[in-house]
Amino acid sequence: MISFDLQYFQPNTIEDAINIYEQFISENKKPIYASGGTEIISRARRNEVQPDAIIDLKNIPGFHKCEHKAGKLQIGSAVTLNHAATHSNFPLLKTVIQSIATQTARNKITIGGNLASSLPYREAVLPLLLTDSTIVLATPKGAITKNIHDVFPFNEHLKELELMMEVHLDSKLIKHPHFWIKKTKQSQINYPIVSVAAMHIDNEIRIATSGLTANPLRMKQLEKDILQAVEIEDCLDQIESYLPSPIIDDMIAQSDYRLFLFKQIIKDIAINWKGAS
Amino acid sequence: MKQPFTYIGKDIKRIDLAEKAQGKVRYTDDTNIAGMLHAKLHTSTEAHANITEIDISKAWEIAGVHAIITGEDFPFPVGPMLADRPPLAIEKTRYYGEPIAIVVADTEQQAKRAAEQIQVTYEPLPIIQSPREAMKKDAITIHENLGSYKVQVEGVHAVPGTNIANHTKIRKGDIEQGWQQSEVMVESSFSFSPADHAALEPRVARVEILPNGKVMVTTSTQGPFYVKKLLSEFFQIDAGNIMVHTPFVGGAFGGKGTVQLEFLAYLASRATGGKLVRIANSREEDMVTSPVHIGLEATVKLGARSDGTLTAAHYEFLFDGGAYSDMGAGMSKAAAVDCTGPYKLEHVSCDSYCMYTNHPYATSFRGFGHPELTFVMERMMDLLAKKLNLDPIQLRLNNLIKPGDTTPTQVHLNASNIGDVRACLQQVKKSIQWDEGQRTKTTDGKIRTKGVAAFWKTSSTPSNATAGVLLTFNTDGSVNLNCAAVEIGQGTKTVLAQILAEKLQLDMNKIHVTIEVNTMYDPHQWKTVASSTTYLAGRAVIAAADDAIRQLLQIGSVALKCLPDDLAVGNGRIYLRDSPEYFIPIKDVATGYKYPNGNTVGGLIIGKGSHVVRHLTPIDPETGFGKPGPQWTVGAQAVEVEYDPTDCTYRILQAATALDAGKVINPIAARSQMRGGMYLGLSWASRETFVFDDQGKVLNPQFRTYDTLRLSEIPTYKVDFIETPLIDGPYGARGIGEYGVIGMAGALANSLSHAADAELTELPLIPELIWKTIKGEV
Ligand SMILES: Cc1cc2nc3c(=O)[nH]c(=O)nc-3n(C[C@H](O)[C@H](O)[C@H](O)COP(=O)(O)OP(=O)(O)OC[C@H]3O[C@@H](n4cnc5c(N)ncnc54)[C@H](O)[C@@H]3O)c2cc1C
Repeated sequence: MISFDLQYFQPNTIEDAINIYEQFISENKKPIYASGGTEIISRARRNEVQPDAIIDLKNIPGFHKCEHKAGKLQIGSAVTLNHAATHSNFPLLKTVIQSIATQTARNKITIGGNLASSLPYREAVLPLLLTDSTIVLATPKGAITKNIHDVFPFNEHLKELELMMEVHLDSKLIKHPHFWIKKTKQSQINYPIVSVAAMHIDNEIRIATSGLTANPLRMKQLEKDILQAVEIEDCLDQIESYLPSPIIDDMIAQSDYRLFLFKQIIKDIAINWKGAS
Repeated sequence: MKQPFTYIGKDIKRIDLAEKAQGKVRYTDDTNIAGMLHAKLHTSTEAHANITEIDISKAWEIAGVHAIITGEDFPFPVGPMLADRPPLAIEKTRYYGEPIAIVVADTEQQAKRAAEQIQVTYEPLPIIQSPREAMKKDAITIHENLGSYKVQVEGVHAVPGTNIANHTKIRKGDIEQGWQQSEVMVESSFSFSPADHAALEPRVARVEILPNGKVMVTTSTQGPFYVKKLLSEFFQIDAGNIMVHTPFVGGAFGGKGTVQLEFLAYLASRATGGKLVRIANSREEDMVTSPVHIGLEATVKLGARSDGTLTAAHYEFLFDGGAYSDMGAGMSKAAAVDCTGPYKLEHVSCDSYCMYTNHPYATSFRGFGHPELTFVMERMMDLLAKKLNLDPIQLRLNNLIKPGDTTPTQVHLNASNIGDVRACLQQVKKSIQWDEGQRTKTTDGKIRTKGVAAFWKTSSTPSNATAGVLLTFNTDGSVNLNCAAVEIGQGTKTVLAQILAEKLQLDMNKIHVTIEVNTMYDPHQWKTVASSTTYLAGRAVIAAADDAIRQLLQIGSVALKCLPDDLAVGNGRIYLRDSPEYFIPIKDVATGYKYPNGNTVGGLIIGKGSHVVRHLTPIDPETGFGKPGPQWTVGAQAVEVEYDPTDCTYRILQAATALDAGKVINPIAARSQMRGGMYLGLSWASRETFVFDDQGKVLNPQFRTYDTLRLSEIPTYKVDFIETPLIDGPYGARGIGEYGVIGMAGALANSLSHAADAELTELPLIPELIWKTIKGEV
């Protein structure tokens, strides 16, 4: 149960959404965008977020698309994880998504909500980082398209009022061989200790990970090291120095165990890749 | 062989099956009553602190608030064994999540909002996070006035000036002599933190005080009469003026065997002039504010001859009872009286303590101290087997307890009061295919191992634990069975109906059991705990049936013009033994037998029966000598895992139980009961625990982060029963309710220790713990 009062809006256009947001800001109040709403509700009942207004994006028509068009896979930010898994035709995305939460929760959790989550995991982003996707943002000045590496993580890059509308990626990439592994504390349903996704694209290996540090990461330097390495063990020692922030150390796992698992997964990926190439 | 029973030993489906399957059951909180007020708690954000101020002024500004209650309003400690806990913290708080104030308002939302507005000023105190720390000489005392607390149950030994809420001592034989006889010794320490019961239904209670002074309670509890007893004692209300109603209970696992929310709901109702007030735990409150599953730190030393014969054992159990003793004091005793497990040991010493810490307080958990002691003892048996290079099952077989031996509290065992643990162990050895290898490798580099545990348990019932049954008859000849046993999902009421069906030789469809309990209409019963209900209430059913039969025969003898001895009861009839074709239907006598001319004799048939445990004694404070429980149910369990040495993860492939049930009254229900127990035991052993930060705050009070075993992760279960009758049990039945849990942690830990080649001494057995143990960091 949420103990505080809040206003709830379901705008039909992106302009309305931004206007309502702006209105609350100008009154010095806290609005928040919502799509699945699962995180907002569960945090609000514990007073971890206390918005004055929830602006639900679910009713905006374009936010629900999930289709291949003009050589691109285009997914709206309010598309649920289950819908994206079954309709994107992107095997890696499907695999990763289906490891998040439960079937029932995935009927509600959305791509936009997962990418903008306050949790460190945001696993749905891993396939998007690997395919160098572009993100269409709604801004007060209209839609703009940006490289995912320039706007993710949203909490560091999105400006106030800006929100995610869609993600686009090259349809040709989706069938490339992939590798994915998620380690949890015990039950599979748990948040990841580490989750690692990799794809083989044109003689390259691409790697992205979640759970290791505060934000999901594309590991470009590691990808290069693996390409060049004679002995796989050689690339493992460098890993820590590539991380932009400390390895997470929390109740899910201590940092040394996280790193151990990560290295082991990387080793598997590298061996697997060397074998394939 | 001819099956002598009609209903006993049959797979009879549960009487509440259809209602539950269709979701028609109404649990306590499934009722919305007009005019009902809602209470919410303000709970402590500190694990140990003096409370210097509670400012409720802002809370009163919230619309709809009727009352705000703080510790000052009822500054008296309560508690089931030792009255050490103020229902609302007063002067200091002793655990994170402790209730500090109650707000009563028109809606739950208003109550929650107002409760959040209460400002408490704390003065932090040093925090004790483990029972060993609590035991240290210079540890801060969590209860300064321990010496002044009222002992509610004889046999609780608190030590004023320390953090010891209870100390139980066992001294059997001559321990020094035992060590001298020992050719090998093993010693090890074990630990685990408190965890949750994780019942689906969070705890909830409603109280209304009627203008005539009657206190009407509706609550999800395992002990409606216990709620009545404690409310009466602590609030000075005549017991006759308290009515406790318990609808279906949505899971309990021991966590609803004590009283907490009922006290708070009573205080809340009282503060509003007796209005109906509901208090319902959020999941977080249910996990942290309400009592939890106990933690433990233990050190054990075992001595044996080189052939593996056990010679001596010393146990030190430091239970993490948390901030208040509640049932923790009882569990520390229960673990002591059965400390050796089902093994013959002449020389035993045990010091078992319930320690105060700044953790949420513990109450009974399914198995009452036994899953805990068994984890410790069964790991020790495997350590000893390893040292002696003996097969772990063989070592156990060599030492199993049997009739003629004595327990740690020196109770003499005979063919009735202890089951056949040897047969159980032999059976489980077969079920888990032990002889095909305790450790094998798979082609993909995984390791499959098996681990076993043998166990026993007697129930720590009070020496006057009782149950009663009332039988009334309907005009169609069917029978109503009223009994205060609580249906918590274990199927108890089906089993009681079966016993009655057997006694009356009456179809199950003709037996109507009232599933809800109401202390106004149902005869007194202690509680539905300790695997004691089939025994206590089952015996009461038999007594009540005998009483009803006697009346039926008497009135039947008038109707059929013969002596009562000429008659028998069965199939809804009273009939002549030698000529069953001469009979009178029960329906024609149940409400009085009417002659053709209208004259009526007999009146209503009302059967009554009760049973009370007998010959139990408190145990001697110095030696433990005494009789703690009526009988020992015994069993053995095994677990097979597939372990991945690359990352220390594993899958549980098989779990097996063989239990001496005395007599299985309902095989399908009993098997489910064992499966449910194994599930609970495996879930706890493999993943359940609270995680505390260094301030004593629970970091995972939600199912999102408090892990439980998922359906997709359960093993194949194997269940077998041995039947060594308990002579005074109903049809020979023993208590079995808790037993499926008891050996699981031990068996899983043994299996994994073998797989990882590392001695695992902590729970839960998560991959990271195994990894750390291998690295020598535990
Ligand atoms: C049982 C369970 C298990 C879980 N396990 C995992 C897991 O293993 N891995 C994992 O990655 N996650 C996991 N999650 C987390 C889940 O993916 C996130 O909480 C996710 O944020 C929920 O999505 P939502 O659409 O409901 O978000 P919402 O509640 O709608 O929003 C979440 C946040 O995103 C912002 N937001 C929403 N839409 C947009 C937008 N279009 N543009 C900008 N910001 C936006 C909101 O303002 C809010 O701050 C789990 C959740 C549950 C319930």
